[in-house]
Amino acid sequence: MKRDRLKKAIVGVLGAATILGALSGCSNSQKPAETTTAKASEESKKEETSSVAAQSGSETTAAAEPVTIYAATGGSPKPFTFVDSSNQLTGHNIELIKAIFDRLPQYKLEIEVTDFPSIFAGLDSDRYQIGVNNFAKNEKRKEKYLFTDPIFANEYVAIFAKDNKKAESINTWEDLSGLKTISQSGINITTALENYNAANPQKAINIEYSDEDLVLQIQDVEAGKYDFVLMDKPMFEYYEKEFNFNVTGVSISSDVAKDLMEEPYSYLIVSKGNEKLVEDLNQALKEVIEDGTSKEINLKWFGSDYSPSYK
Amino acid sequence: MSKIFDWQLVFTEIPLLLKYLPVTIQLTLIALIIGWVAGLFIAIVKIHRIPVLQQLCTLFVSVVRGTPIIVQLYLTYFGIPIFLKYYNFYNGTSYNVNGIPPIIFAIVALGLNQSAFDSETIRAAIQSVEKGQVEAAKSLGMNGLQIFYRVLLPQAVTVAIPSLGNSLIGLVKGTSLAFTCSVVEITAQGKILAGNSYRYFEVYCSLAIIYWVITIFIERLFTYIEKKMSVPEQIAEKKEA
Repeated sequence: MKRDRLKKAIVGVLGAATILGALSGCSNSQKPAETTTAKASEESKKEETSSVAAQSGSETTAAAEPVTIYAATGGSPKPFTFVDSSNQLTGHNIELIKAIFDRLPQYKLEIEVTDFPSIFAGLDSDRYQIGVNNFAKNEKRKEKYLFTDPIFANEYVAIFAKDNKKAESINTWEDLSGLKTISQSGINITTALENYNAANPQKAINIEYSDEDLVLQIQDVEAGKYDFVLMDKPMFEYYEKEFNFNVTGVSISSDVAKDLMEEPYSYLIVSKGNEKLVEDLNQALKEVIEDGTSKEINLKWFGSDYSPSYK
Repeated sequence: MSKIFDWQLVFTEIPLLLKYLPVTIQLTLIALIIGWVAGLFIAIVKIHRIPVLQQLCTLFVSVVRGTPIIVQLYLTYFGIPIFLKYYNFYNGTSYNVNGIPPIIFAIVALGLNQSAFDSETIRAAIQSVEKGQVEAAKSLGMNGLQIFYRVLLPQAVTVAIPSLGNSLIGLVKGTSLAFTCSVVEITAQGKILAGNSYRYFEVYCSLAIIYWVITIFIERLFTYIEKKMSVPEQIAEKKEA
C-alpha cells in the first residue's frame, strides 16, 4: 500500500506540473506560433500585423501598410447601427465611421458585431480599439476611454402615454423630475439621465434599470407602469412607423439639454493608449462634417441633419 | 395598438436563424467532446485521489460550477487579451490576440464548463460500479486499463447517460451566450435580425421554438441510447456475436 501511495504522489506531482506547465505555456506555446505567423506576414506583407505595437503607443511611423483597427458595435439600435436584410452592417454610425476611415489610408477598419456589453469589455482588453454604438459621454467613461469629437448631435424625446396629462407640461428636463422612467444600463439615454440626476440631485428623475426591449418599455409606458421613457428622436420616428404606438413623444428642448448636460452628443469611444488614433479620427471627422458627407449620411437616415457643428 | 405582435414573423424568421444552426452545432459538439474527455480525466483523478492534481481539479470544478457561464466567457475572451497586454508591456513583445478566431474562445470556455459538470457525473457513475467487480477483474489478471475499458466504462456509461444528456441540453442552451465573444450563432443572429426589425419578442419566440426542437431531438436520442445500453442481455449478446 505504501508503494502505491508513493506512486500516486509521483503521478500527481508530475501531472500537476504538466498541467501547470501547459497552462503557463499557453502564453509560451503561443509565442512561437504567433511569432512565426508574424514573421511570415512580415516577410510577405511587411508589418501588417504589427497593429498592436502601433496601438500601444510606440507609433511605427514608417509603417507603409495600413494598421488594422478593430471596431465593435452591438448591431442595434437601428438606424444608428444595424445589420440589414442582405446581411450587411449599416446605419448612420457605421456609414460615418467608414467615411472617416476613407480619409485615413494609414488604417484599415474591421468592424465586428458583438453583444453590447462586450464592446466595453473588448475596449478594456484592447481587443477592440473603437466602440461605435452612438455612445454618449459621462465622467466615468471619460476616465476609462478616450472620446473623439462629437459625431452626432442628439435630440431626445420623452415618450408618454397618449392619455397622460403630464405630457403637456413637459418642456425641459426639470419638468421630468420625480417621474418614473425605465432605461437600459450603459446606453446613451441612460447616461444622459444619470448625468442629469448627478447635476440635479434634488430634482432627480426615478430611473429603473432593465434589459427589457424598448418595445416592451414603450408598452409599459402605455400601460402606465412608468411615466415616460426617453429615446433618441430619430429612433422614435422609426419605432412609431413600425409599431404605431398609442403614445406621444415630447421633444426635450435641446438648449435646455445642453445647459443641463453640457454635452448631448454621441461619440466614438477609443480604448486607452490610442491617443494618436483619436487625433487622426478627429482630423478626418472634421473633414467629413465640413465637406457635407456627414450631412448626406444624416439626411439619408433621419431626414434631417444632426451633424455637430464646429463653432 | 396595431402590430404589437407579428406572429407571422415568428415563422418567417426561423429559416433565417437556421442558417446559423451549424455554428451552434459546431460549438456544441466540440465543447461536448472537450467536456467529456476533460471530465473523464478529472473524474479519474478524483477517484484515485491523486495528490496535488486532485486539489487542482477540485478547485477547478468548484470555480467553474460556482460561476455563471457568461462570466466564464468574459474571462476567457477578454481576460486573455488583458493578460497579453501586460505580457507585451513587460516583455516588449507584440502578440496580438485578434489573430485567434473568437469561436476558439467560446468553444474552450464552453468545453471547460461542460467538463466541470460532467466530471461529477462521470465520477459518480464510475463509483457506482461495485468494488467486487474490480477485484474480480484483478483476480482474473486484468491490468488497470483493461479493468477500466472492460468492466468500469460499459457500466458507468449506462449510469452516466441520462445525466450527460441533461448537461448536453444545458450546453446547447449555453451556446446562446457565445455572442459575448462575437460568435454569431442562432441567438446572436436573432438579436441582429431584431436590431433591424425592432422585433425582439418575435425573434425570441422563433429561438424558443428552435431550441425546443433541438432539445426534443437530443432527449429522443438519449432515450434511445439509454434503452440500447440498459438491457444487459443485449450487451451480452453483442459480446458473444
